[in-house]
Amino acid sequence: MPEHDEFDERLTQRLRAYESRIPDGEIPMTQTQSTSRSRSSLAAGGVIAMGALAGVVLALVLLNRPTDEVGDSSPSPSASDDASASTEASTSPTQSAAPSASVPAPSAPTESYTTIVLGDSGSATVATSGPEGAVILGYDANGPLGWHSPDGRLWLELTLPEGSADLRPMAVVASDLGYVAAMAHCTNECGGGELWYSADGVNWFDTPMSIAGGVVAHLAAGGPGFVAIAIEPFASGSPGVTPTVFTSETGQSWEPGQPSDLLESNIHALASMGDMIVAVGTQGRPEGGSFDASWTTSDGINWERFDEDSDRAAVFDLAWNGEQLLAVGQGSCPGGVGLGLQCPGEANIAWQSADGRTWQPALADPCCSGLSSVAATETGWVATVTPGEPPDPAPPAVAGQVGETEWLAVEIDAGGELLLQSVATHDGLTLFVGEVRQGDTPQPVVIVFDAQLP
Amino acid sequence: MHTTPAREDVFMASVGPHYAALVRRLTAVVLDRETALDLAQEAYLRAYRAWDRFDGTDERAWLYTIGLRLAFNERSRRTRWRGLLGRRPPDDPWVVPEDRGLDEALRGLRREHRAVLLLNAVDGYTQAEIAVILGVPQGTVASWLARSKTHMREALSDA
Repeated sequence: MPEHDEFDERLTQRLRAYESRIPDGEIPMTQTQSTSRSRSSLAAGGVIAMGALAGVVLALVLLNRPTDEVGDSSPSPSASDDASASTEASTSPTQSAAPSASVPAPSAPTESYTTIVLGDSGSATVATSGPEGAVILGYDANGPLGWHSPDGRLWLELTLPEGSADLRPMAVVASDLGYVAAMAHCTNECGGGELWYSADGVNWFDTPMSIAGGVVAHLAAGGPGFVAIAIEPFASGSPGVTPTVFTSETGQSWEPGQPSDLLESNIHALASMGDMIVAVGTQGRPEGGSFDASWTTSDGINWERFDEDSDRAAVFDLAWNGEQLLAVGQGSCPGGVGLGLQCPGEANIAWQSADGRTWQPALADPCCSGLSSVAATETGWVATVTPGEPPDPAPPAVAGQVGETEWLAVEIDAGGELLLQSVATHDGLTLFVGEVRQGDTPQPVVIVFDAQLP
Repeated sequence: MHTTPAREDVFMASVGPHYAALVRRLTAVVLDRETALDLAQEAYLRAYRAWDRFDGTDERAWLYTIGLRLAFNERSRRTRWRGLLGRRPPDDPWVVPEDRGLDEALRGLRREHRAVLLLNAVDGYTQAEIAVILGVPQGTVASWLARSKTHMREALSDA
């Protein structure tokens, strides 16, 4: 026993000396300094509860601004006339000087994002950035909804083409040619739809092309101008089935076709890569089953396929940052049994490629989640996380760079239960869109990150 | 004329002196300085928000309670998102290069075990007090403490 006491005493002395040698350091106190330190922990894989660090709970405030005030910020004279609602962001907390050089001020905030509720009910589902501003599309029980912002901060609700209440936005893209949205009729399942066009992101019209059968689930701005792919739910990849590809040089008139190169393919995601367009998915085998594949095209008519032996189970989104493609989704479990949702270990959830032909794993998740949407920032990638079964500790979004060993978990306090559907970047901002629930009714929401992510 | 100190001033006077110790303690528990700084800042801000509910008995234990629980939760989130490309995280640099033997021995413990060891050996908290701080049963604390001491004895005798 004396030996134990002696050891304990020596250990205590040694631990005290050890701890006393640890520097307490200077704690950043200004907003700029604090943000900078947070970023350094990003590289180290730290979790940053950005809203929580601010010391406030961001409150959702829906203000009805006079439409003329909204119109002042709109690039289109007609925008203010069409505006039926405007939105207001939660505001940043006030800052106070730190009273001590070694202790952070209790109210010193790191305000990194703003939560903007876009309407009384519904969900925001897709977003894009174009030369005339950013566009968000969504829906509620009455039909599709849309919002436009010239700067990503002030959002104007749009008047959209008249249509049936069951229209849901599937995708939206933009280029110098304008904005294109793929809309689908959805009740319990989706089938048929429309392609919409807008020159300025504000004034939208339904193009003459209506889709009778499949669902236009994928859009890309590039190649001939725009390319849209309609998949056949529950049939894509089956023997004899070819997806319908719609091509357009303007976004206003479309040509349908069924390229033989895509026979029995099941396209999961589509993106432009410079002058090319890249698709990823699976290719059906004549004898049954399928394998992973990717395709490239410059015109939307002729496609070149590249077969792979990968672990991608599903790709939900694809993006290009000028140098790399990143596909996100859910991978198969190590060993090839089941999806990542049930994996006992890590399953890949992102894959990168420099040419659209060969792919390498870029990120893995130990369990429970995949990635549902991805966008390129100036310095890396941001992605929304597919929610797992509650209680799921996964954050709503992650940010990082290919090659980093860990990505930052982006935590967002939106004042209610948050479900992110999509992410886009615009003018240095990161825009997460989805819905927030404070009760039974979801409200469409956009989370605008001022700070650079990752 | 008597003036009532501002809430911030009272908080600063009571909790502020313990902040440096909190940073050191969190560094010793998580063995990562940047993470510890983040955790300490968040713990401090949470403490400020909850200041009105503090019973006023032991500011240091209260601050440790918030900070250490954050540290335990943070780990489960931080390790979720790992890239496969490129390198794995390099070995952590020494927190205290002057005593690498102890540093290495501490790395062989789980965070919870390190926290219990430090709370007991350095701060002198009883097992019952540690159970309250960490929000775990006293038996768990006893088990963690025994394991941590056994590990430290073996690790340091091998050094």
